[in-house]
Parts: sequence; structure tokens; C-alpha cells
Amino acid sequence: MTLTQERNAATGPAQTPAGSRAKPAGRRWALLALLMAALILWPLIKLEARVAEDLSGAVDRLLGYRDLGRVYLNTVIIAVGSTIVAVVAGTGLAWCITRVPPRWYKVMSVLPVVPLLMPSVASVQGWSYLLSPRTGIINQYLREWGVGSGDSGPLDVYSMTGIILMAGTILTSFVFMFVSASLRQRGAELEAAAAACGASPWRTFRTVTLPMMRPALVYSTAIVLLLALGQFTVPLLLGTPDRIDVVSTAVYKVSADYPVDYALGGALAFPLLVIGLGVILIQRRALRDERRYVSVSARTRQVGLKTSGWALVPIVTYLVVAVVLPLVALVSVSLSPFWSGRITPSTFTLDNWAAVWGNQNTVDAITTTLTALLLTLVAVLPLSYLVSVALLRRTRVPGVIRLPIDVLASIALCMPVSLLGFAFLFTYSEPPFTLYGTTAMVVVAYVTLAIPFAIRPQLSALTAIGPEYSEASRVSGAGSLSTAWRITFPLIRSGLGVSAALITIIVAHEFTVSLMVTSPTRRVIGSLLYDETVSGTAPNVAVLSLLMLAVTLVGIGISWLIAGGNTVDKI
Amino acid sequence: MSEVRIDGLMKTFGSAGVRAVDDLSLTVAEGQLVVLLGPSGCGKTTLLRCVAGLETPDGGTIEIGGRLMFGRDGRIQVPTHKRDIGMVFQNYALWPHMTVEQNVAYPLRVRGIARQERSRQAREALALVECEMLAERLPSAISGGQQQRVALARALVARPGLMLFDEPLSNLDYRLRAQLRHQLRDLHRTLGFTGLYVTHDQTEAMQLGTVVAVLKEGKVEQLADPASLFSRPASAYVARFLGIGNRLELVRDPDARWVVGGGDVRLDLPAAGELPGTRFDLYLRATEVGLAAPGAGPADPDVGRLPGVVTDVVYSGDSSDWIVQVGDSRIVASGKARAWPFGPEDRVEVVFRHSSALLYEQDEAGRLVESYGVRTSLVP
Repeated sequence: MTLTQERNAATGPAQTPAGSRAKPAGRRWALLALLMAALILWPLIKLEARVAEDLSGAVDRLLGYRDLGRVYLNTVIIAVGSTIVAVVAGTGLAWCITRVPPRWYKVMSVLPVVPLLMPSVASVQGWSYLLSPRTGIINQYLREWGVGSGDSGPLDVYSMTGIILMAGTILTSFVFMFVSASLRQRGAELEAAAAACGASPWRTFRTVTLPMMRPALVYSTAIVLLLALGQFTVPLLLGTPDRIDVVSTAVYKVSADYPVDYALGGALAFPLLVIGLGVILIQRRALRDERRYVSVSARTRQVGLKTSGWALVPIVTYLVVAVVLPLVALVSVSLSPFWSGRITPSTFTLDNWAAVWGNQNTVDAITTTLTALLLTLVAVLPLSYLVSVALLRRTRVPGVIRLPIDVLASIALCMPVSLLGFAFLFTYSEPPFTLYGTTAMVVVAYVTLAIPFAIRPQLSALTAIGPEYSEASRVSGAGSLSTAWRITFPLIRSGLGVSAALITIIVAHEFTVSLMVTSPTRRVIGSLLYDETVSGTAPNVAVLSLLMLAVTLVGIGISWLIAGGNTVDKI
Repeated sequence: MSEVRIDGLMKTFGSAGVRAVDDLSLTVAEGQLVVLLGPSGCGKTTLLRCVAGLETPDGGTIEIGGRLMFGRDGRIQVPTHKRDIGMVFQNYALWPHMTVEQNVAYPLRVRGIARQERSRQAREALALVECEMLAERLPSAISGGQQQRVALARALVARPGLMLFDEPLSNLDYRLRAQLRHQLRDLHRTLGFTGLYVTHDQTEAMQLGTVVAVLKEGKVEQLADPASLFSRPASAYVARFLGIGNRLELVRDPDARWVVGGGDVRLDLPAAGELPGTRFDLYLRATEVGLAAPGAGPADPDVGRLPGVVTDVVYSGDSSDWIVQVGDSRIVASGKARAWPFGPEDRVEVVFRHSSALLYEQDEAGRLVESYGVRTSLVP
């Protein structure tokens, strides 16, 4: 599908006969590239320009920053630790899926992705109710059974270990997605062939399966490491009591002071920017390699492999840890009149829920969140569709325009979200925008965050349908727009649905950027929730966490309608 | 008017500048079906896609029905959907989310024809390809042959000025191919559309084309009607592509006789006048080669005889192939299953009429030597 099929022709428009058009090469695509650059690149450049402007001052204040070394060290420890947890657990789960008895396969292959629907704020809150040293439910039971002593411990979620395990648990789903997709693609024939050559199962795994998974493993490790470096929610919520700061939380604390020291914040986050750019380079290389590893797609999985009911145990355990336990804790707390650390169903009441609905702040926050979600969907779906078309190899887009679009899309993926949020705050609260305190500011930030995620599903859907369907439409006499509307959109409907689902998840779960770009008068659920953790009651926080989950489910419902069913297992 | 004029068309691909279409000119007269024939990579599909506007040429002009579609160094480019064409794709390209009738009615729909009328015309087009009973089905629920028929109906339905076929029968099995070939031939005779048809199958080209253009490396190697193409392929490349597989290398010796393939087999070539060189390739159709016992038969200046040894006999149903080693060449003689009583190791003579053999210059171009094979006596 092309929007422009005309090539270079600078002059002589008056001479062209009716029905023929001649326009400069890809001017419309250049506009798209510019728009992407304005959204993604401009804020980052503007922020770093500010740092450069005030370089000596920024460096001075940076070096004077309390515990600077400790902050960077914490960032690295938490990033590496949680990446290891996620890669080991995610790969293990993916491997378990291949050993699941056939009748469980369909359900089990979806379960490890379900935690993606759970806002990380909600899981962290849930686990803090379970494992906070004094009032944590699990801790109380353990003390009753004689494990630990006194009125605190034995487990402490507000610790380095707690942060690493929590962040690792959240990131496990990502690793699982990448690795299991590559395992599914690999085609069991290749393993069967190894077995036919006389290789034992272990040898087959070592010599065939593992090497074939390597690109997926490298790729997902890199992505997860980036996500972990930019982790914000977990260290913010669990690190505060013990003053465990990472770069993201430090940047946030800079943004919360008034006046904001933008140069200091930009300088603090600069190392992450460099690492992010480095990963883009690695990733582009790895992706190029990946094509070599694409094997014949084969529906036949599990040829000659032993399946076992034991494979269900880790999968179900992961779901319980990542979703069920925190959800149970959240629901109990939201129903309790106050939080004592005990679940006493006899005292359960809906008062907290009723109070929240009666609170204008909450109603406003929910309205703002839903409005922002809808506007983001409306803006991102068409935009990411155009970008996907531009990235499609068969579309004739000049290389000088395609490359920047491609790079811009990956930049947004590789930048720590806290840095982006800080840059948005700097760019959009100043003239000519001065959007601070408006929904527009929230939407612009969300659009920028969501675009890169919305591209991939559409791009692969477009690649899968091939060029012939739209070519057939064009030779039938249909123009670009009616071809897109009548042929392409219906055919990539499920890809659009998956895009919508991903946009929803990103927007509804958004916490980092939301804290920075919202003002006390214009809050989304995430920022209201954080204010409540600082100065509100536990039951209110629990209710808000569950509301975040509810918004997610509403958005997934919308995506379901767009895709005509079948969204979740396609993510 | 739906005459197609292609003039000096150029199209290169990639940074290496591979010339897919190289200064190519071709004219399709009104009502003609011109078949573009050639092996994969000869540029035939690229040419077709340039005519459709799905590829942008680097230079040259394309005119359809007197209207300039591409020209003036690319300053004029009519987009595909305004070229009034119909196209049949190799993989059918029926839209899976529409029923058969909706697929066929689509060209009418985008031309703004009212619902009732387009339904009527769509059914008419479906009837033309004997698929009217499939109207309500989805493309996924019908067979490959039916899908390609529906695709044909879709291309025909709006009666476009030009029909384009991109290897439409290549994805079908042998029997279906033959069936659809005949159907297409009949349709062309009845409807008289102007068309360009791309294929790598010589049978298809011969049966369907009013004119066949054999393409080589982006240029037209030979343009002729099927009968003359088949009897006098203009170059060794065309002969090979038409499946004429027996090739003998000939070198003139001092006695003005011809030595076959380095061995000690000699042959006299009758020619109207002097042959223009000392090295040639002789091509023989397997079906026009006979076998005889050595030294049998009378000498005849119109018949070539070459001694050889049978190495294998391949039975394949109705016909059989005898493989004969002549010098260092392998000659295949095809005949009815028990045409000749020879088996492996038997010494035989390979017999052919000079009038049915083809002589080509042994150089890059490999042009046909016209003076050879023209009958030197009046043998029918």
C-alpha cells in the first residue's frame, strides 16, 4: 500500500493531462518523519540543550548531589538483578509451555502474559500489604507460626532484595513473550531432525534449541535491561522507607521541587540516554541477524517431547505471585474499614468504594484518565498505521525518510520513561506550549510513549497480508484511501486490535510520566494514587489500584471490539 | 481504443543497477493477447507491473488506448487506479473478508455503479467463468481453480480497456491448468479483450497468445505468432526455452565436412549458399529425431545420419525416450512406446531431416542461420 506512487517531478504541473498526478518524492512521508521527530526527538534535544547551556553549573550540582554514587550503584544493581530474575524466570516459563500436556496448552500459553494486564503500581501495592515488615499479612502469619520474632519481619519488601524480586516478577512477562514467540516459530521438525540424527533430548536442547533461541534471548535481555534501568514504580514505592534511590526516582524528585532544576535532571539521566542509544545500535544489528534465524513455521509442536503435568506448576505459581496474591490483598484492603494487617471478612464494607465515588478528585482523575486514553487511541492508531506503512519494505519511501522514521520509533522504545517524562515536562510547560495542568499535556506525553508499541503489531499484520490484496484493489480502480478503508483495515483488523490493547495497557498503567506531567489540579488515576500513598489511607490506595485495573479492562474491551475478538492471546 | 504502446522502457533495481527492463519497446494491437514468455528473472513481470503502474519505470513511455500513462521522464504518471485496467494475479489475491460476489463487484463499486446494477453485472461475469453458484461463498471456502476463475471474473467485470495476467495459472495443478487455458482462450475469442499475459510456460504461451514475445534480460528476444515462433526460434536461447533440448556442437574440418562435438563423427550440411562461419550449434527436437540400424536406408541429402550408442531407454507411458550418445553429446529421441527395437549398448544411427533441424551461430547472440534447413530438394 502506498499513499504516494509518484516519483520525482519538480516542474511543469500545467502540462500534465487530466488524471495524471506528479508530486515531489515522498513529501507526505517527510511530513510524517518530521511529526515523529517533533514528538520524540524534540523534547530530548531541548532538555539536553538546556544541560549543555548550563553545563558547568549542572555538573557542579550533579557532583554535589547527595549520595550520587549510591544512586547510580543502586540503579545498576537493581537493573542487573531484576533482569537476571526476569530472564531466568521468563525463559523457564517459556520452556515449561513446551512441556505442557496438549489439552492445557492453549490456556497455559496465555497465563504468563496475563500479568501485563495488572498495573505494576497495583502489584507493588498488593505485595506491600502482604510483606511489609510490621503489618504484612504473610509476615504476621509467619510470626504466628514462630518464624521470626518481635513485631516486625521476618520478610521485608522495602529492601533491595524486595525491589529486585518485585521488578523481576513484573519484567518476567516481557521475556516470556519474546522467548516463547521464538520457540513457537522454531518448528519442532528441527528438533525432531536432531533426534533422528541420534541426539539425546538434552543434546538436542543444547545444540539446536538453545542456539536458535539466542537472538530472542539477546534481544529480550537487552530490552528488559533497558526497562529495568528505567524502573521507577517499584523503587519509588518500595525504596522510600529505606531511602533507596535510583536515577529515575532521583529525576522525579528533581522534577517535584520548585523551581525545577532541569539542567540537573537532564544531567542525572544522561548516562541512561547514552545506554539507550547504545542498545538501539545493538538491537538494529540483532534484528538484522534475527531474519537468518526465522525458520519454517510449523504448527506441529511437541514432536517427540515428553509432556508432564508438572510443567503446570511453575506457570500457575507465577500467575499466583504476579496477579492472584496481590489482587487478593488489594481487594481485602479495599474492603476493610482500616488496614490492620489482618483479613477479617466479618468487618468487610463497601464504604471505601462509596467514599471514593463521592470524592470529586477521584471522579476527575478517572474522567481525565479515560479521556486521555480515548484521545491517545484516536491519535496513535492512525499515526502508527502510517508509520507502519512507511516502514513496510514494499512501500516506496525514499531511504532518507524511512531511516529516520525507523530510528525515531526505536529511540522512544529505548529511552528510560522517567527521562522522557522529565523532557516532556520541560518542553511542554514552557512557551509556546504552556500546557502544564491540561489534559492536552497528558495526551501528548501518552501519544509519544505509545506510538512505538503500536507500530509493531500493525507492521507484522501488514507484512503478513502481502502486497497483492491492495494491488488487486488498485488495479480494480480504487484509490489509496478507499483501498486502505475497504481492503487493508479489514484485513489487519486483529493487528489494529493488538495495537489498541497495547496502547491501553501503556496509558492505563502509566505512572512515571503521569507523576511528572500532571498538576495537582489535573490528575490521572496514577498521580492521584501516588498522592494517596503519601498522605492518604491504605484502603483508598487499594481502591485506586483496582480502579486502574478496571480502566485497563475497559480499554482491552474496546480493543476486543476493534479486533473482533482474540486480542489477549495475540499480544 | 485500447492499443498499448511501450517505447524505450527502462527499469533498474537496487544499487547494483540490475536492468530488469532494458530499453524495451512493444506494441499490443487492439484485441490482441500478447504473451510475455521467459524464464524467471527475465523482466516479464516487472514489465507487466510497470504497465499496471505498480512499479515506476526509470524512463521510456507507456501509452494505453492513446493515453500517455507514463512518460516525459516520469513527469507524467497516471496512478494505477486511473489506468482502466483489470489484472489477474498469480496467487489470486481475492480479498478474504468479502464474499465472491463482493469481490467481483468491487471494481464496479469503486466506479460508483449502483448496488442492483453491480450485482447483476457481477453475476453475469461469474456466469462467464461458470462460478455463479459460488456468489455467496467466501474465497477461503472455494478451491484454487475456482478462486482463479473468480479473480478472472473480477478483472473482467468492469470491461477494462486492458487486461493484465501475471502468471495466472502457475499455482494450479496440471489438469486445472489445461482446463483453464482452454477457457481463457475461448473467453479471449468471445470477448476480444486486449491483453498482456505473463508466463514461463511455453504451452500456455503457444495456446493463448496472438503474439508471443520471448524476453531475455529485459529485452525482447523474439516477437512472433506462435506458429512461426515454434517452427523458427530466432535464437538458441529461444530454442532452449521452447524445450528443444538436443544440441550438437559442429566444427568445420579442412575437408569442408562438419565434425560433431570433438569426436570422429562427421556430417554434411546442406545449405542454400555458404554458411557464415566455422562453428555452429545444431538443435534437434526430440520428437523429430528417429533411430535406425547402422547402414540401413539409402543416402538422402535431406536427411542427416549420425552414428551413436543407446545408453538408456526411459519408458514414460504413451511415449518413450531413447538416450543416445553421439560423440560427446547426448541425444534424446522420443517416440511411441515401442517405436524402435533398440536397447542399451545397441549401436544405432540417429536420423533427422535437415528441414526440421535448427542451426545457430555459436556466439553470445546465437542467431538462427536462415540459409540452413531451407529445403534443398522437394521432399515433403
